Amino acid sequence: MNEQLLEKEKQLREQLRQLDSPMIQILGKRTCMVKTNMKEQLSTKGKRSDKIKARIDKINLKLDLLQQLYAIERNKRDKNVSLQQEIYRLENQIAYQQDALAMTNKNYLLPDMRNQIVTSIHASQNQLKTLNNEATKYNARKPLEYYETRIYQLDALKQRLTEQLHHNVINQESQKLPTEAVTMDETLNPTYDETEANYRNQVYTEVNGILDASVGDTKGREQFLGILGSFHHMFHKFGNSKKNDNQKKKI
Amino acid sequence: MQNNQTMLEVLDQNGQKQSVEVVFTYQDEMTKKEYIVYTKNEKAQNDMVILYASLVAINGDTMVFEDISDDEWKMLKEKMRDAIHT
Repeated sequence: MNEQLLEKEKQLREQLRQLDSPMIQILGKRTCMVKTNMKEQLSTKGKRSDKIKARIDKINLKLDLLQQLYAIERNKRDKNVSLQQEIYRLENQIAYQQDALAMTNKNYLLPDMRNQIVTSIHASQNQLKTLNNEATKYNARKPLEYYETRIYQLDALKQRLTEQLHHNVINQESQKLPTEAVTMDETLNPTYDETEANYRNQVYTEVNGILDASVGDTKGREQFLGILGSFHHMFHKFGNSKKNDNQKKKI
Repeated sequence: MQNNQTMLEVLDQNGQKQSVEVVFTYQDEMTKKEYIVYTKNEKAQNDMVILYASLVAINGDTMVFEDISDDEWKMLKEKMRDAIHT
């Protein structure tokens, strides 16, 4: 009995361990470096994208609801139109029957017909009352144009937000973040060699403010030094060509 | 920790549990693949911070961060640059 209890406890602990363990496992990654302020900018934009996505999700929900309501209103309108046609027909029928009744009042020779007409008028009036009640149920809560306008507006907003999301554009209310002018002189600074020395298993190449890392730990130190050598060669080559050009380039 | 930070608990490639900050996410409209850029806020010299980027995938019941191809990495860096410089 104790053994069963211990086994159960073991199972429960294992289940608990699995629940406690993080669900996300890193199997592979790329590495780069950016200036701290750029990371903050990126983070801010990322959050903004999340907010825009949330707004688009909400708009999609609203659009779905509005389209459903629009379809209902349209059905109601169609139903109401057919009911109004039926009401119109009945009103005409009653008017005709009342004319006929007036005729029979003048002619006492047709009492049976008169009774028949009176009965028919009562039936038509009851039917008219029912139809009017029915038609009230199908009265539009809001005109179809209301839904059409809102759907159009929301759809336009959704399109703008989707475009904004796609391009990661800052909306007009937000302060425009300054574009950092990164020149070759600044980014290909010799102090970057010190950075590389600190991250011996990584070689960084600079592209427009983002330092790209190629992880070389599996290839060994020799390969690393080889890559680093060609990296320096590239620096010098660039430096010489730059002297010749005597112009400052921006990436 | 700042309020607007999004933190994630992950298992690194050595099986170690780590807390990382999500910096940027991007979904490719064509492929619908999702990418994540995160940091352990490791500081380098020259006021640099190290970022990591992975493809977000589902493996069974587990979410995993997978390595990305050279083309995907190029594309993701472009998106990051767009975001920084826009």
